[in-house]
Amino acid sequence: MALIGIDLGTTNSLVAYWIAETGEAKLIRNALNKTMTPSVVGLDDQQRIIVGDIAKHRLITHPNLTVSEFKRYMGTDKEFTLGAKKFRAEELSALLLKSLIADAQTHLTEKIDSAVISVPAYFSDAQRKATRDAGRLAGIEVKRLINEPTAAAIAYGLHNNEDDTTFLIFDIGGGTFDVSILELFDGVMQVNATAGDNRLGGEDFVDALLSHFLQKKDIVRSDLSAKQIAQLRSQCEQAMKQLSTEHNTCIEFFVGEEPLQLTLTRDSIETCCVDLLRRLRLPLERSLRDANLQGDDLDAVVLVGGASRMPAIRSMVSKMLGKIPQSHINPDETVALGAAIQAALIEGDASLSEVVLTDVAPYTLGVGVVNEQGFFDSGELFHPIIDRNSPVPVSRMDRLVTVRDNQTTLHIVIYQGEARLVKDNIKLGELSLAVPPAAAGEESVEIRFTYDISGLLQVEAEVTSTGDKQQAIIEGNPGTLTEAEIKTRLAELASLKIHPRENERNALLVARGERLYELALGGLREYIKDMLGNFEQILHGQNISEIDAAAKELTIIFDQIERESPLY
Amino acid sequence: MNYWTILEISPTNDQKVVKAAYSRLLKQIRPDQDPDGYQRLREAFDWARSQCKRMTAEPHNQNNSTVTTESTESRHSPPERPSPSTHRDIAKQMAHNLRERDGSVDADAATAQAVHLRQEQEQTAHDEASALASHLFNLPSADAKLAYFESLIEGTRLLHLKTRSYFEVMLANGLCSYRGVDMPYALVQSAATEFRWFDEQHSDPDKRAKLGYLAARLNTYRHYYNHLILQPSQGRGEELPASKLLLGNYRPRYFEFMRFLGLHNRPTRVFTRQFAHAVDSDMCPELDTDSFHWWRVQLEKTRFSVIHIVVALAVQFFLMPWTTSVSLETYQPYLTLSLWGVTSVAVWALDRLYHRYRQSLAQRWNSLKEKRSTNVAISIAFVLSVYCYRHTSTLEMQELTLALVAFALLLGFLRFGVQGLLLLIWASAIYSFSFVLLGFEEQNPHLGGYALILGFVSVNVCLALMDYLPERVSDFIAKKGFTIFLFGTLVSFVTSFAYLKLITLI
Repeated sequence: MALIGIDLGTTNSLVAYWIAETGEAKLIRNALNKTMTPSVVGLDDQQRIIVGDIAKHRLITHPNLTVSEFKRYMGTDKEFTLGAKKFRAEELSALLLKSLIADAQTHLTEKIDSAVISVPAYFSDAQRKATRDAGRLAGIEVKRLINEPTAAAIAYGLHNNEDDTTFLIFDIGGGTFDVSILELFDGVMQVNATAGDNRLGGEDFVDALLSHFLQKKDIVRSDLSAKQIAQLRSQCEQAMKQLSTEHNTCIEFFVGEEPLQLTLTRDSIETCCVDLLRRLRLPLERSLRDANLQGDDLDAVVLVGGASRMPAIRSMVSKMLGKIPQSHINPDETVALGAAIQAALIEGDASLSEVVLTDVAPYTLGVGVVNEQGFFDSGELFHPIIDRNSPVPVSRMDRLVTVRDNQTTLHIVIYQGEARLVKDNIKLGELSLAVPPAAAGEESVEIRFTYDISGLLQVEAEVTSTGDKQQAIIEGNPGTLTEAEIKTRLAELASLKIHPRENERNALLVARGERLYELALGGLREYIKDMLGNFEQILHGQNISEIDAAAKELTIIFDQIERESPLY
Repeated sequence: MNYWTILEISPTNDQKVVKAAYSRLLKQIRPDQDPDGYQRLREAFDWARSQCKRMTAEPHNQNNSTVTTESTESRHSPPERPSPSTHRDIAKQMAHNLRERDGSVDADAATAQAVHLRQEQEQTAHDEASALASHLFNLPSADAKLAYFESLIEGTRLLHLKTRSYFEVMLANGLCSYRGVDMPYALVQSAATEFRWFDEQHSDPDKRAKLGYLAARLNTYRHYYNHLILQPSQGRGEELPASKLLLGNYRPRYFEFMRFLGLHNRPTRVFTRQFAHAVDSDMCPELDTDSFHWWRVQLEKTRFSVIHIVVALAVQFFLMPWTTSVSLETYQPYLTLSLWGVTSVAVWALDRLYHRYRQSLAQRWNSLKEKRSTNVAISIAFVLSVYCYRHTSTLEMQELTLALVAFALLLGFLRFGVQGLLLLIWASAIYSFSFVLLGFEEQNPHLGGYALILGFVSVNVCLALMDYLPERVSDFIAKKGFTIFLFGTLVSFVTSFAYLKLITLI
């Protein structure tokens, strides 16, 4: 059975598998021979689902038929509209997962029915459940959800021969930011603390750059069409990537006939993203504090995630910790490799039996309690039961008592978060228990919180005097799907037509050509139009050798165009 | 079952043994297969580890302290403080050292060097933070402090987490021991938001107590400010008696505030106790009458009541000859009483009006107008008493004049304390003495009275003059009781001689 690990990212997704013979994890390439599949889903002109690079190109040409960054809405009720259809974030993730699994199945020539999926460490319960549901919708069993920085740590730890080390994983991807502090000794990989920000990633930096550009050029966002915004955004993204290797670059954008240019340097990025950079600090500080460490106690700082390539982030990290971060591992691929290693660990692969991984819970979990002594009526108070950064799996019990005489029911609301008042925390679920009437404080309920190893919560409550038991139904809450909903949506997804995998390369060329056509001007534009027209004719002819030759030629031409003006 | 038996080892303080035992057992009790077993094992491991840390803390500290002294010594040799940019160099060197550690020939030397560098880095961070903090506290106004603090947060000097944490502690300490009336509330609030002081529960008990104290102090100030300054006329019940703000009765206020913060819950009982302990053990000595300027407030109030009594008396005196001249002698006591009542009410009303429009304690205390009104009241009292004394020779009038003198004494006491009182008594004694000395007593028995009044007035004028001197000078004089004593004596002598010479010439 294949051991698969999937990095389901905000911007890009990867899949890796474990080779038991050699004892290493390897990435699987998709139909376009690339390891990274952009996390973009769209509909093509025949209403078929397209995923990955083709969809990414069409993000510019057909912004209404394509959607990206849906990972940010996992665990919410937001619905994305693609043409006439509506999708939840779980379903879009499922479509993406399906495509990744199809790639893996082709590569490994066997059926895949389970996988380890990575999630940001700071994903909440609802977001984790949504990811698990996405796996089910894609037709696989999610064996384990592994925290992204932990996965990266596994991959890093296996490379690192030094024993007894403490290191910090700084994972900033497309949409999420996590910090984990780990310790490695005697074949134990122990996560000591985790913190993060679910709404901070490379995409935010691109957005900041976009706003900066609009502000500099006095353009109001609403004046631009969705298409123009998508084009400009892709330029900003390119500029951001270029600045990782070069010291300055330039954005050129056409509004009507008039070209708008903006020269960017590394410093200017730092100034326009200063607020975002500052947000990196709190998780860093909190994780160090929770792990009871100082910056100096760390043996290494490892940067993971695509956005960690940004020089601004690198310098910020070294300034804050007074340490030069390590960068010899590939920040994009590490998580997927770690997830595959985790899959092997779960199966107890012979070559890996020496490593045991332990993780922690990212959030404090608890219940709301009446603010009895409230001088100011500030609402219910949060009563923590499992503290953040407790090692998982963990199970803790607490006793709640009635507050009024002859109270007949005890209503328990479960919350997640760090704030003092429940209204500032996230509600996870609720349950009511009937208690026999008695004086206040006489009747009690024993409540047990169990956090499993994937970071999913189970709550059980029992009335002490009657032995009446109840389990919290956390699924019924906003942001998560019920069992029945999953079934209907599974059927719906199965009925969708997927773009055939075989001619993906050609479809990509067409999509890429269309994007270039939209970005180019004048003679170049005409040229691309002609080339695309020719190519479509050849495709129509269905002569395979001819198509192959034409595709190769076209790829070279497109590569050349892109090289000459790198912002395309 | 104790934790050591769970780990299957005998009690030790060697981290390595504990780790080895844990890792051996963890491979049998896997977290995904035996969650309960893992939870027990992990608890035992964490406990044993903290135990090891505590046991080995002692020798470690000694070791550290020797290194610290070394580094402090070496720190003195380079003349300038390492600039923030050298952080990076140090870090680079450290990383380099650590990397080389395995391969290096002399591993111990490298480690020692790393430790040394770490100490140095720590020191740099500490110096940097203390420079920033002292600059902050040296700024003159609360607004400037806030502006500087905000610029620090925006800027890059607090980026290094170590510098930042040092600065945070220094800021909290500085604010806790802040003296003076212009407590920078806005700064405290801004800092509390930035460092999340009141949002999160702190694990460090020392820090908790300090922050709790800061919070309580901020709150006490706020209550004090609201109750005493902003709404002084809302009835006595609303005003906080000073004793409640002070040490003995800080508790009700404190608990109220803790409730406001929501920190009165289970885990923070310790916190409460720590706070009480901190205050009881005089860890916070500045929480005293002086810091609240309570006396100043009381004095202000008394002064007002005295003024209104004096004014009322003056009006009564002024009207007295008129009431006698219209031969209403029989009704005179009633008339006097009613006049007293009317004037009292009028002055009281004026007083309230004034209270309503005044802005703050500090302004009130410092306003020159305020001081003038007192002096004017004294002068009026003098003029009137002289007038009355000249135009009446009845015993009654003389008694009333003496009452006025008593008020002047009281006034002197209230404004300048015991020193003022002594000064006035001393001045009158000099007068009486000079009369006897010059033999004027036989010539005019009234002269003694005149001279007495004049003496009080001259001293009062001297004291009043002090209000117009620069604050620094008047403070100095007030502090030097003896100087002012001599000064008063001198003035008394000069004026009495001049007056008596004048009388004899006429």
